[in-house]
Amino acid sequence: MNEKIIRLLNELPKVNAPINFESKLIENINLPKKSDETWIDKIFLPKLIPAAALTVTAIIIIFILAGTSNDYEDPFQLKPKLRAERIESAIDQNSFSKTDLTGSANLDDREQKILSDNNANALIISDEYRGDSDNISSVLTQVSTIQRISVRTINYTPDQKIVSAGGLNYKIVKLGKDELKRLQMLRGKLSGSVENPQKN
Amino acid sequence: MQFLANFYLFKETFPDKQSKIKLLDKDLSILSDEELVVEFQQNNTLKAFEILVQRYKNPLTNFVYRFLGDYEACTDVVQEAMIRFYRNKDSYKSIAKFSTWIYTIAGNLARTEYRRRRRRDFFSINSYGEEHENFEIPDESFRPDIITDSGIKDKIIQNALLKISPAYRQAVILRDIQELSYEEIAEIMGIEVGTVKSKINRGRNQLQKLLKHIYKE
Repeated sequence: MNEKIIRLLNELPKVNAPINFESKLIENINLPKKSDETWIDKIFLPKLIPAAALTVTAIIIIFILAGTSNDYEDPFQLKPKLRAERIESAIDQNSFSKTDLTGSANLDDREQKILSDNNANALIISDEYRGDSDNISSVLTQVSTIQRISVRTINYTPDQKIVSAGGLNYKIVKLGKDELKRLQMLRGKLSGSVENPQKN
Repeated sequence: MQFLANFYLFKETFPDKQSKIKLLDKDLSILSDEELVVEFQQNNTLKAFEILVQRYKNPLTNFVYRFLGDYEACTDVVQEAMIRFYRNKDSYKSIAKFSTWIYTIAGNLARTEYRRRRRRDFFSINSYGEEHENFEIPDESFRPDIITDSGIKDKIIQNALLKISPAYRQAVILRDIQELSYEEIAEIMGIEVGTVKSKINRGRNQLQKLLKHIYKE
């Protein structure tokens, strides 16, 4: 079979150069040298294509790797910020409302002044109970500022989240019914003692 | 060396200038390719260059035409090969055969032209003109694809050649049309002799499939 192909190829007529080949050649030799390559051909040389592809791949990889870092604010990478309203929603779940927590809505002018003097815009609930609840009012009268109300929390767990608002830290706690009752009782006593300190 | 010996011989024998010139030409033409190149390199003898052009213009044109399939393009490629030989004559080292060297230049230029033609979009001639008239290519008497390729069979074979892979095509043309040796083809293409044989075999197999309806006749 190959022999037939070879024979067919051998039988092809020979193609000759044109008659004016030499004269045209001398003309072309005497012409000044010119470059056929355009600037596009110079940039997209076949030899440069693999290097260019490698460079583009490296840039893409760097971009992807750099995008995973959290050094800069990237809305697609950062976790959503915890808003102060989360405190409200957490507090609404059988816990404190922000209003209750700060006490600002239930406090009178004196209480407000005390809070503002100490740059406190919230009453921090700590996990440690200090003092007897009945003596809260006397404690409050003794200290000039209301910075802390200690409430025993039964439901406290070590991994509960801490949130920040207004420069202060809040610990979100869940209170049971009994605790809530106790807290309301304390609040009542507090509000009563603040209004009439001499009564107690 | 033979040339120099002849030169001194006729200088004493033929004092007449005209006779000297005629014999010088004759002496140059009997020189081998390598000797002519050396003469051209050392003495810048244009006649030596012309003789080499005469010897290789037709084989190179045949080779490049069979590779590209376009006569205009093939004459440009062969012209460019000769110009490069003229301008870079000192880059030829007499270690290799001159035919290998000039075929390598022509082969590289042909492959470059082939790649360039593939990259570019060639618009059909029918798209010119508002009324979609057909524009005929002017008839040139030296177009071998019109004069010599009178048979449809030759055109079919040429078309089949253009359909096979360029690497196989070059090897098949150099072996079966230009009748070069495997070693020469290996030097021209820059590959091993075994690879040359493999490419030739594969090229022939591809041609066999494309031309099976021809050699059944």
